[in-house]
Amino acid sequence: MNWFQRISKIITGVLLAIAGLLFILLDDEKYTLLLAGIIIYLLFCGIKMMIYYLTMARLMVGGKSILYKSVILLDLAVFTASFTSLSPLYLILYLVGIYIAAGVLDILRSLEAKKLDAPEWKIKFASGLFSILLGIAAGISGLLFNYPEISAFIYGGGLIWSGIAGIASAFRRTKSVYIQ
Amino acid sequence: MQKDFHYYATYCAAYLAGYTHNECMDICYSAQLVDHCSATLLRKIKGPVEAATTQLQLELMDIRTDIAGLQDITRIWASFHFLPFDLYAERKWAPKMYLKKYRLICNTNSDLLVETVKLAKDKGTQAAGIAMHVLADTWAHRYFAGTPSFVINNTNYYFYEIIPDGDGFTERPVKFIHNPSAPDDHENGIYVNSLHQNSETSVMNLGHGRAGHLPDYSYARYRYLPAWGDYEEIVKDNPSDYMNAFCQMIYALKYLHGEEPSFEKNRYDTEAVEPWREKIKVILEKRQTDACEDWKKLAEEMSGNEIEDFDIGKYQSEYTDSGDRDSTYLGRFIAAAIAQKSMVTYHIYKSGSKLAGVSITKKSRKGGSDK
Amino acid sequence: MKKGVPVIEEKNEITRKIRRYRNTLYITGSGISALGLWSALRLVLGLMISPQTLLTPEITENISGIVGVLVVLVAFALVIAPLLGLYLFVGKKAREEGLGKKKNSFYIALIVLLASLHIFSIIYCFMGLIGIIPFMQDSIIGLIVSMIVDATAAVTLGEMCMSAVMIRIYEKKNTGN
Repeated sequence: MNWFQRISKIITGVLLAIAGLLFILLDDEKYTLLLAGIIIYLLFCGIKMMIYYLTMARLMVGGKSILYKSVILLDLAVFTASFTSLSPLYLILYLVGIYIAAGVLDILRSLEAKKLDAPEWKIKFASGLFSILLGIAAGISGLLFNYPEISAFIYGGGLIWSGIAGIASAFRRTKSVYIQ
Repeated sequence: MQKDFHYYATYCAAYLAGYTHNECMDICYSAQLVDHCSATLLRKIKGPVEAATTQLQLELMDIRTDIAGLQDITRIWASFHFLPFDLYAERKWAPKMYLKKYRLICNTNSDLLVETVKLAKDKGTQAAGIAMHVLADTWAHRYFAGTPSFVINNTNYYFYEIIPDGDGFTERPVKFIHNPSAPDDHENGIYVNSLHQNSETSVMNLGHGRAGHLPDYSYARYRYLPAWGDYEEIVKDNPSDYMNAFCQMIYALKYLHGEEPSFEKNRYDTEAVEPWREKIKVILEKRQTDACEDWKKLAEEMSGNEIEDFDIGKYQSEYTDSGDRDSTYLGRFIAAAIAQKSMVTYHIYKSGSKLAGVSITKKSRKGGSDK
Repeated sequence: MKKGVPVIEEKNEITRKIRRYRNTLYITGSGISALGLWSALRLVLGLMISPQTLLTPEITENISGIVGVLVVLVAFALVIAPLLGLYLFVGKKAREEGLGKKKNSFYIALIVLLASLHIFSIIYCFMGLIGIIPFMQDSIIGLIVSMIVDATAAVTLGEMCMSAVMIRIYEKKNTGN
């Protein structure tokens, strides 16, 4: 990572931590804000991928896979948008699901980093495991106790943790395979 | 290509072209130095970083892939390791964005190669060495581009190694893994390549990373579908390509030495190679990931002189301690590298692409500027 | 065959086309499996969370608590799981043929069946869009994107069918040459 990427990671980490704090402190509007953020992000990714397919990937062997991914992302964005009228409980479950999925991805990436003997793998693994456990705890508290505020609190705490982990990882060296 | 060809085989080619032992050592050292002269090394010897001819793995890890970073990468890799074949190539229904990368695909016997060799004329052994590195790499790295591009440099499951079997050949699917600590296993067809990354500008999609080191092994024969090829299969025959590279190097070096009046495309000095052809063929076809020992033995047999191993620190103190750095070995290498980079960047820019940055023509002691 | 074109050149061209169609089969096979999985997940979540966008008001009024869960389970067992199985089967066979492994012509008929279902779904969504099915009008953007997804799936299945048929035609031509 160079200084530019490190600074980006630090800024992202700080923003995540602030988002987590807001999520704990705000009332009902936090769900709408968070959903809006996720929808915009998914829409952006889906449209970006679609444009990439139309301009570049359609000329590539096997490029159609990019088209399918973009369509699924767009559909996911619209599907997420249909949740705005839901009760907070279902919203939080949905968010928790995404959080657990992100944790699983983190663990897979950490195992990849471990294969490369990169020192950062431990932090990434811990971060991923923490995300999964947090997601499960948030889901259980919401379902079993029907108390979405606890889930929201745990989720907000999880965002703050992700922010801190991101800032910490900005100071780590990353490793990958490059062929010269 | 690797040290076995860039260092020892270049020595052999220079010797067969009529250079003395010392001149051959200068040329082959310069050819190999192209794979080591990074920004890190240049900073260490307090040289100009714009003369970098390669980027180390550590530098690539840290590199930014915004516009400026990509231009930096393309300037280096397209100028020295993946010389573009046709900067005005066309492809039906392709938008300009795609064409810019498509036109950077490397192949042999290009107009840029002729310019590269002519640029080295009367510029000394260091320039000759750089030109030979570029020439040799056009054979090994053909069909890949010296810019990060998923749509140009990607490969897929359709990748088969062709292995000699008696009088014929057998085929075996190549298995790629991403574990750098495991060496390439050519017995079982398991090779390391770079990670699959959908991102267009990921450095994983730079050059031949997605094909691993196969293009750099002289014994390798394989067929695959290049991402840009519209399902046209490429059959790469490295033993044949490397032999052509060797013969073309001799011809180019004879031109630089003054024995040939001009340097033209598609010409190879097969006569000079004839007495050594069978021995070279054996080395090229031998299934080994490093042929340095064999090439070194051949070089010593050819010239009757001992060939010292490549030592990256050989000329560094001469450069750092000298009052007139430009006249030192590294000083002349740096000048030739800057000239080569400027020339290629200028042509890429002239073709309407800013992938290698902006090029302005400026009169200077060392040639055109690339900034 | 073009006049004056040597047989070897035509054979190379046919081989290239077979390669292209095989790769298309592999990609479309993976794509249809992914689309099928996502559609199934979407249906299940949709039934659980916002059944009003999928079912009539008369049905949704009577769904609550354990009845709702039962409805989801029955729908899954009778409709979603078999459909998902179809998608995954078709995807698997297409990928296998794309990799040059065993060929199975039965799945081509299933491709046609699935494509028909998607075309029917497009028509159904369109009827919801123009108000013929009023209960669906709560989510216009959702309907439009559903139509896009269905159209993509239908086109993908169409490409898959065409690739499978063309491979058979060209392979016959190749052996003939």
